[in-house]
Amino acid sequence: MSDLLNIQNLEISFQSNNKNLKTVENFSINLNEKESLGIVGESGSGKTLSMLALTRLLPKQASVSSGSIIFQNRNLDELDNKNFYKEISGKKISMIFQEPMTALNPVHTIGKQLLETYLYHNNVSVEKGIERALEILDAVKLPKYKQRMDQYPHQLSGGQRQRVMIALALINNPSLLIADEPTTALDVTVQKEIIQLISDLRETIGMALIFISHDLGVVSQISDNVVVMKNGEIVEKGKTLKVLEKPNHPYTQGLLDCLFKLEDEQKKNQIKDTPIIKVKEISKSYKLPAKIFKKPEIIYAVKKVSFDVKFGETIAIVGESGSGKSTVAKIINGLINKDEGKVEIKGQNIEDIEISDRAKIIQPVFQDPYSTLNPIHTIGYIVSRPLTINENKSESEVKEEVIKILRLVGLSEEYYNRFPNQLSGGQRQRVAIARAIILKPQILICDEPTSALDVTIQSQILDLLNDLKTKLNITIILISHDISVVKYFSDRIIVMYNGEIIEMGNTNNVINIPKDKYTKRLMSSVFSLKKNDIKFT
Amino acid sequence: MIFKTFIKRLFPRSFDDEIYNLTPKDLIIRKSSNHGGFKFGLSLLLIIFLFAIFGPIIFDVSPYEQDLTKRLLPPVWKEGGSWEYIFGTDGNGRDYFARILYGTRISLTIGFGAACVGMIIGVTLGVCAGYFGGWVDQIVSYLLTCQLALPGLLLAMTIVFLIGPSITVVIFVIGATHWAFFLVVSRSATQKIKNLDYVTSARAIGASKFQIIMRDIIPNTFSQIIVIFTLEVGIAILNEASLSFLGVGIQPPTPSWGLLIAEGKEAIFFQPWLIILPGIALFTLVVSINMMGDGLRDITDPNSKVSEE
Repeated sequence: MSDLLNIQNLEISFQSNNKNLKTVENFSINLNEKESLGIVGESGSGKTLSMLALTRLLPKQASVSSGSIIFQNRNLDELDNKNFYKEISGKKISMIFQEPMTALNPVHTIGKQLLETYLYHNNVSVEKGIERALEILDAVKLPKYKQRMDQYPHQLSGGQRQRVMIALALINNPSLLIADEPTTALDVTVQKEIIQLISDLRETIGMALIFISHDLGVVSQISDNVVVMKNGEIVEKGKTLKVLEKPNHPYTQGLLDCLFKLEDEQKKNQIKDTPIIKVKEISKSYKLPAKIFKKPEIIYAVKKVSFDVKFGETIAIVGESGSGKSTVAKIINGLINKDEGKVEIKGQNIEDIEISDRAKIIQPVFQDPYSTLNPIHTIGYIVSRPLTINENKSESEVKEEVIKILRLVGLSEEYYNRFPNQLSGGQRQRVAIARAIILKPQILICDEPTSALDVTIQSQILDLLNDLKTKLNITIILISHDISVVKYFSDRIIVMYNGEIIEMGNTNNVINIPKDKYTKRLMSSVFSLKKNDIKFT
Repeated sequence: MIFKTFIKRLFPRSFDDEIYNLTPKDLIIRKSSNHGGFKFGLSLLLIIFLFAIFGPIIFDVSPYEQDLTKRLLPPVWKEGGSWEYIFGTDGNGRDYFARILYGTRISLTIGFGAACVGMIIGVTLGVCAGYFGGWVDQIVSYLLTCQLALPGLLLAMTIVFLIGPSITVVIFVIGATHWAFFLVVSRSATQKIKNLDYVTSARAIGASKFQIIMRDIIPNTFSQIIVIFTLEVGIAILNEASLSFLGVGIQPPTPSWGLLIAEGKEAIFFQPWLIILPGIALFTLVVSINMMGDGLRDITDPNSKVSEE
């Protein structure tokens, strides 16, 4: 096999304040024809940037300062931009992006966008173009593909749009496809189908693939070779199985540990038999704005949901986006009013509990570390606020307690006077947890507490939550779409779909012997990387 | 350069090398010391303020004392001018420099006062409309439509005419007809902020609506409101000038810049400095305030790229 792509010592620097900040250094990869390469790394590691340099899509401030890119025995540096876009980009090298919702132009039909790409690079008639477009839409397995040509992007679901994106990328039969986290924004069940599709198409078309992801599990499924990046440098590369089996660099080792740790057994809380929360047939619906001569449409976010949570138990609610899991959590927390049903906390109706008492029983932790803290207040103020609102304590007592709690979540005293924008995502999430536990609540509602964080940080936060759970004997309601996190963390699982509970049971039972059709699909779509798998091969 | 060394000495922390270690306040200080337009506008405004406060004390000449034998003397750089009356005299033989100096006080008071009144009305309504939504929002939006539909100057004229002119009345009338910007900006900012997680968590820890509005929402809309504020100061000063020019604003013999221009209009062909001098003063003030406002917008916008060194 001959070399398809050879990148030597690529260096990308950012121009900022008359200083050159090197973001990618010494980036060298070698790709054979039909080979698939995975690039793994956390956000900011330069994995996307190095590929943008290859397709000349770098942001304005960034520039390639040294290094050579040789593609099909041609030095790409010698091509000027016009020829590059005509001959290479979109024809020989195509790219798929992360966000299918914004990657397609909403004012043009699918057919028009496909045709535009094809006709720009190929000197053929429109009829031929339409023929080719239909062919490729069939190849990406878009259901009812013949009608899709005249449809607009908003008429398709996220997964379907990503299929159209893939069709757009493949319409010119490229030799190299670059997929930049193509599945991260999709629901897990769709994720697996898309990865399967990319992998199949690679074989039928016979192209090379560079797959960028933060998820080692996904990359291990699809790529022959893998490159691990950290802080703009390649720390490890080699055959995927070899790297997974015997990682040389401590960072790779750490990544793997984070994944494998999720398999270990957990210390469990003492679970009492009496329920702390009783949810009985709650419903919540939203009315869509009425149209003339039509009844207003009603959409159920939550439909007759009932379950119990016992003292000390950790219960996980899983489901795809829009399944109503967050709405249930907010209703239990008293942040949204329900339409029907009953929520009892420690035998009391949620509406009858005073707000200040409720705050001492139940507290939320949210997903986005960037919007969870008010940017204008100091960490000390943010964490002390629940105390100053609900309890009468002197200033020095409050400060003492805040520092104690900050230590408990793994932050030192010096964070007291800092502002949120000086903290990293993981640290912010620790502050958010500190704020939630300072009133010593018995129930914590964690709404995807780790899904916005990098893998290594994610496992630290999970460790912290686990630690607190046993230390303070807290009941936790965990909302997540990540099955491996749920498996690691929870005693029981509730599966929700379209606002209804479709399955409920012990974690191991639901994961290993799912009963419902949707649950089966959900569980089989997880790309888990297990210790045993690797030793086996 | 002088500005920067001065600021550096005042806030040494904000010039540490590590940018990400700065507090939001430090970052604003650093950005502002690098923004040319902001520095120019602020310096000019400070000078005008100093003039307004200390000018009449140092230059101890009454702006009301008439000397009819010395009517319409030209300023010092014109033929026939003298150092005794630097800007000459007006039609009643009053010292024109003293009148402009005193007029600075009046114009600044009215500009900032009216903008404050407008801000209080607009932000209160806007935050309520944004936070509570529903019928509150509908009523406020209706008020806004009314305000936008009515010709402001005509309304102000009518009210001043009915109540009778004085500085306080002029301030309140101008303020009461200039809150639309404040309302629109604070309403949309509130709508955005109230759905953020930190507001939800404030509700979860039991903070009252009043606490949430005062502690979480208003401080975060502040950077946008301060920009509108500086724009409105400029608009209010010009508005006062129009009212005075039409005869329903500040009443003679009190010197306001608008009034000076109105009084000078009869002499526009023969003694043009009577209009040009207060005109220049008005122009300088409004330009300095607007430059400062533009600068503030750049500085407080977290996405702006003001160079840090």
